[in-house]
Amino acid sequence: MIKRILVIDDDEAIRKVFLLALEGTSFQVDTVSSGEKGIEMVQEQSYDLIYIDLKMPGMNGVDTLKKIRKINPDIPVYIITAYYGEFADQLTKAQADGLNFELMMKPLTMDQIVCLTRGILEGSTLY
Amino acid sequence: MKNQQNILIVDDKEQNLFALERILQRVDAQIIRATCGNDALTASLNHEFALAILDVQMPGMDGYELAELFRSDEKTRHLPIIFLTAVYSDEYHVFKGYEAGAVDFLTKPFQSEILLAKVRIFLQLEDQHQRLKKIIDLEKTKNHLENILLSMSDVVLVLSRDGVIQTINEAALSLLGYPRGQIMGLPFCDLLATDEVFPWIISEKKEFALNYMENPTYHNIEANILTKHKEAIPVLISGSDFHDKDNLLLGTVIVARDIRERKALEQQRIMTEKITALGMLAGGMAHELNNPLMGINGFIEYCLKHTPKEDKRHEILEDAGKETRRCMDLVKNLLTFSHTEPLSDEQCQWVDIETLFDRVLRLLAYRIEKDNVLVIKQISVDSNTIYTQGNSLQQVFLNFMTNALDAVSNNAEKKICFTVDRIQDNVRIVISDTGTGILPEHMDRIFDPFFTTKPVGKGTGLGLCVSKSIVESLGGKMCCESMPGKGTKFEVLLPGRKNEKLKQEGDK
Repeated sequence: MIKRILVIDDDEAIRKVFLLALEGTSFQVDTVSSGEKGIEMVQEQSYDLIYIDLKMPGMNGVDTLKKIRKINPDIPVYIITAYYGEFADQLTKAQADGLNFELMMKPLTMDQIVCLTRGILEGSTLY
Repeated sequence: MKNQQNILIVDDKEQNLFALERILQRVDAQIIRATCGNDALTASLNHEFALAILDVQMPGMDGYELAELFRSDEKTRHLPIIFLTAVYSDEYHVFKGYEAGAVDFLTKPFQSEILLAKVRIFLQLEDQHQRLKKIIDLEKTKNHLENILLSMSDVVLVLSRDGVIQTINEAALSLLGYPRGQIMGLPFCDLLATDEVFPWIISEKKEFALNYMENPTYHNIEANILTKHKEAIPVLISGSDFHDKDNLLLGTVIVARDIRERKALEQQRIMTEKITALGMLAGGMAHELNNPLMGINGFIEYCLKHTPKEDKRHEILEDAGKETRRCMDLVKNLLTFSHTEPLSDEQCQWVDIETLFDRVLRLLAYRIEKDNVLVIKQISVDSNTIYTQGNSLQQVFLNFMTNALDAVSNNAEKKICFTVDRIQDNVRIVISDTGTGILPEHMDRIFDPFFTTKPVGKGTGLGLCVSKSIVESLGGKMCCESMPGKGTKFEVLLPGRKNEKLKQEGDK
């Protein structure tokens, strides 16, 4: 069965890098440009892994995560951010509230994206 | 004008007083007469006498008794006395007189010349006595004032009306580095840095004509004062004129306060503000830059993957990737520097300084070998373990070592020493090199963000700045000494209580 990945990032370059990095893998990658659209997607179909940008106009990464967790508490969610200083409190609170997520720092190289994704979805020990 | 001296003459007989007055007309003194002891005492209350001439034989209070009363009073205790005695000239009376502190005797009838001679001598003595007293008083006042001047920590200069230094205190000498003899007589203007504009220096004559009361602006003016070695020291200068009683300008008193320390603090504050502002800017920039950088890097990697190695474009894409990563490193440095990077959230733990340093050496092994640099480690056993943020400290070592390698690269002697020891509760880490050194004019700026002397593309100008902010965030201090052409030494002091566990083992 094909594993599905959702990338939520307002930056087109980032969405594109994810698509290019995972091109040629067996995964199917969907990308959306906002938290709101991301939640719609999660409601419509099931995903095996979600990458969310932290700082986005409208709904930010933490808020998006909260909504997603209401729909599905178990999908692995990686918050990918360049700078989490201003969200540190929200992130800490989300963690304290039992919201399950991982934090990754941008910039990620293509190799890192591939290794990370494989590691999560295939249990590979490459990363 | 010399004050006229007063002579007291006491005799119960009018004709004697008259005769005395006649004789004493020939000295320059005012004669005060009294016909009995009581009158004489009253007169002594109202006048200052330089001399008293007393008739011994008087009804009621005699001359000796009067003299004794004079001696017992503070005001007349030292009043010189000449006793005139017509009847008694025997030893007994003479003795009694001396006992009362008398100074001389004349037996009647006396020659007026002798009396005059004695009177003149007494007046002269008294005059000298008075002058001496004045000198002593003056000396006391002068000493007192000098002591005040000496004990002042501020620079005090007294200038003549034409602005020449006349008096100077110790604080001024030690600040300015002049021996006393060399600075006296110098125009005060010579001590001021040439570009200083002083409202109270009237331009052409450089005359000091300030009227402090009318011009409160002469208070606490910031200026630079020059030492003997032409070093400019920032000071706050206040000045005020002083006049004689006819309101004629006599000179100016200048008080200057050394404000180097205050200046340094101010600069530090400005620096901190700058760094904070830059930190905020960097934090904001990081998000903006990291996204496109991640994009660029990803696109390049994708193109690389799909370009055959033989294609010349492969090599160019590799260069593009390398440059992109340089930008990424720069952003990362900026984040470390602004304290917003997660690295600074690193937990403190017991780390081994030598291990950290060896890791840095491994990172730089290629350069060290290529340049044939000798690296010497001296780490004292009791200071090797420290409770701190290891990765941050390692970053500091890496920055120092990179600089040191750059500094020695063109030198014949290529040596870098890494020394660690303990000073009380601090661990001292010293990295010194035998490199090109830092020019004195750059010394003030080496910790400034983006200050670099390296060629374009070689340094970001953030290494030392980042290192300093890391060391400070670890509660430490950092300083630098350098001699151009000889080398540079960086010293880091980190708070480092001893590892109790290790210490206990050591105690066993």
